[in-house]
Amino acid sequence: MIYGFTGVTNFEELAKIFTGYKITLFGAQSSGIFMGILFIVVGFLFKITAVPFHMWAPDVYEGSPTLVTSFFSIAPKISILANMVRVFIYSFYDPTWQQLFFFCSIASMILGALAAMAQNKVKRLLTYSSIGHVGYLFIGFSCGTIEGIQSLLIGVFIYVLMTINVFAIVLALRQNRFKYIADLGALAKTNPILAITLSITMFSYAGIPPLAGFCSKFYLFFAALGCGAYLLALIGVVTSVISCFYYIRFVKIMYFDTPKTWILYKPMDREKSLLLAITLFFITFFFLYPSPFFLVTHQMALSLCL
Amino acid sequence: MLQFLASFYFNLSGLILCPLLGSIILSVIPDSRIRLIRGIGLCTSLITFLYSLFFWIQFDNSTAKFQFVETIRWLPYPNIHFYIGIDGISLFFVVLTTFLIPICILVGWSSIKSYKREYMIAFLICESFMIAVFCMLDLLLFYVFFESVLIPMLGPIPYSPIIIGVWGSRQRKIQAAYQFFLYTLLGSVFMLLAILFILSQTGSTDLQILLTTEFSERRQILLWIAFFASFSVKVPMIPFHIWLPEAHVEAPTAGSVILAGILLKLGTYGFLRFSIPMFPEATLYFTPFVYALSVIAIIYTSLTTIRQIDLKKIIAYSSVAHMNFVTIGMFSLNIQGIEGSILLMLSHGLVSSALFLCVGALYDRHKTRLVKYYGGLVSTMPMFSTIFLFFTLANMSLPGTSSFIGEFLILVGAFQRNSLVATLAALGMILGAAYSLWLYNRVIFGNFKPKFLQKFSDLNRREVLIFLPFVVGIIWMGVYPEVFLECMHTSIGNLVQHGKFD
Repeated sequence: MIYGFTGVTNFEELAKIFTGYKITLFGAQSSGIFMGILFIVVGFLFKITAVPFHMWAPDVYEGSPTLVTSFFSIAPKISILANMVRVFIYSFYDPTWQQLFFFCSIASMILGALAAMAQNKVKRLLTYSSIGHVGYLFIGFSCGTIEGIQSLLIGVFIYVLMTINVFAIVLALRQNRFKYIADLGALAKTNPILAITLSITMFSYAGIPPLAGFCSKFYLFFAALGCGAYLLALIGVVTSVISCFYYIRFVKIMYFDTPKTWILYKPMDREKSLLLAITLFFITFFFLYPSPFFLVTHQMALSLCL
Repeated sequence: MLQFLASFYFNLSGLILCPLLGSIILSVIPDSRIRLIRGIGLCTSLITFLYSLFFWIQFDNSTAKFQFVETIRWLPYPNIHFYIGIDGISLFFVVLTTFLIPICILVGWSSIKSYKREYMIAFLICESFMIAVFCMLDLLLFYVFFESVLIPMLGPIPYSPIIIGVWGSRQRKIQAAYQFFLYTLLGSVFMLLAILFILSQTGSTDLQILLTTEFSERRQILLWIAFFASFSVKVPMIPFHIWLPEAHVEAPTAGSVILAGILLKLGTYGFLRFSIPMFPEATLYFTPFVYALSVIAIIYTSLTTIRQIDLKKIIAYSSVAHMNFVTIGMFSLNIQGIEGSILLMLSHGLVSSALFLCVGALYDRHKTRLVKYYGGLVSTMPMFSTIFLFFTLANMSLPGTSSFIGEFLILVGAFQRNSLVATLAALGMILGAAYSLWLYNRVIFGNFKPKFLQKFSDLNRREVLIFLPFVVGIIWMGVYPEVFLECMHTSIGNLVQHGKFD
């Protein structure tokens, strides 16, 4: 539709057309363009499992083989967020979309925090936690400033690492049909290093200093406050604490509960353990020396937007 | 020879890294060589203690500027760096921290049966984070370390379980962990928002720059409330104090010592270092509020203590009462009040920790903390009775002990501001005497209870040697506190003048 109304699909040309062109619901000369852009937005939001277009995510994540789940909880997010940054910051830069993204972000965070509390299957819980995380990433995205984009990029990178870590652990335990969270019980006694890896990753998801997840969250909230989105930051912070509850529950189950049948875990193969080690190292020690990474993303954000 | 040592380049970051080095060394040693693990842990903590004493010796009393300042670049763009320094206020907290950690390691010498290595590593990491909190002069990084102390305290639960886990004692330990964690976290995220707001508005989180920025009064009030949310949970003030008795009851002895000795001070230190200097008008605005909360806390907790049946809960509630005394002193905003509050904080660090050690000694022997099982201990444990008597009297603020000096200075300071508050707080002192003496009476004197306890043993050499430094410290601070106060005068005078409180 965009092509139909504007005649171009090139980003640069679109950017030139839309500068100064106010697209409102009622005023636009060409409401077709508005509908076109709206459809694009919705399409993107579907793929990225943002609320309110997230319905497919829990069931699909849970039903697919874990390898596939880990792929498409990481890869589409990166690609689509990058794509959205290109499209919406570069071409269709307009405050109308900002409100939509605000709403999506708030709703994702709240849903991610609350829905995950009731889950007792691992992959569903990870789904809802990734929905919540997409909400946080959207905070960075919806304030259209350079800091917002930078925080988005940092957040995506750290999210990717954490998710790789979590799914590697789930895969490592896969041989024993690891479906329910309660199966994790007493992991601390059978496989203590894995337990400590999972706890650190869970704490990083929850955003507890001094792990990497905290760095990404603090920068996201900083960007939000910097552009005046106080409500967003406030809700983000409160949902952070709420989600912390079920992340700690993971830790509690691992260390305190005894499963009904004691599961004996086979040792995992070498590549997985290497992957876990690298991501764990990064999550734990990112805090000590983040500045080259922040500089790189700053440059990336600047080049994307200017 | 001291000249020679003085020319050494004493580095605060070295002090923070020293326990971390110890923990790294410990992590490569297998779990079976227990004596080596214990030896390395103890040596590292003692070296850190001596290192911090050097800072005390080198400290210059005549200036209010931050000393031993170092900057390590962290994030250049938002201007956040590891900006470390000590002044008169934080000097003693660092020394207190490094003093208490070897004690904790000694406490766990023979009572920790499993996961010894992880226990040591957790304590050492916790120690380095706590020293970092007290030295950090950058707002965001202060917050980071303020919160990161949570992880070794709660974190890899069986591994470091300073609070819970394998070393905790009951089924409710999980509940206590949740409460501890979530209360603290919820309060602190508001502080995070406030810090980020300050960063985005002023462009820096460096304390020395922020001390000179003027915030408008409305903004100061909002920011003060956000900071208050975080610090008041740690202090703890009513109504956020519920986590403390639960956490103390569930924690092992060393965990309680750290919790009471240091973690509680983090909240009041935050008030003193950040809330009061950066937001002076808001502080004046909220002083009646803080007074009200503190006085209610003192009287309420003292009365509650009288009814408790669990030894650790009694001491935990008395901790709450003492810390609220401290906040009364701090918010009286004159030199006597603030000096008294710092001195009471230090003394509380010694006295409460020592009391928890006493209770820990009893628990190690009889595996119960209920008062009704104990009685007549004076005949079988005379050394313990003497030491316990000394610390009970110190808890009561008997003149001659450090807590008397602290409370006296606080009352002097508070009386100048608001005599009603000072009177009510003094009532709290009387109630303190009530529960302390009654507890002592029930446990030590009276008849034996042979139905419950059959075997007894007095303190062994390790335990007596643990208590000795506390006795020395309390008497020293009580008889000649000027040694401690002289380092604080200039810094506190600067603080009071800075906010134009006089």
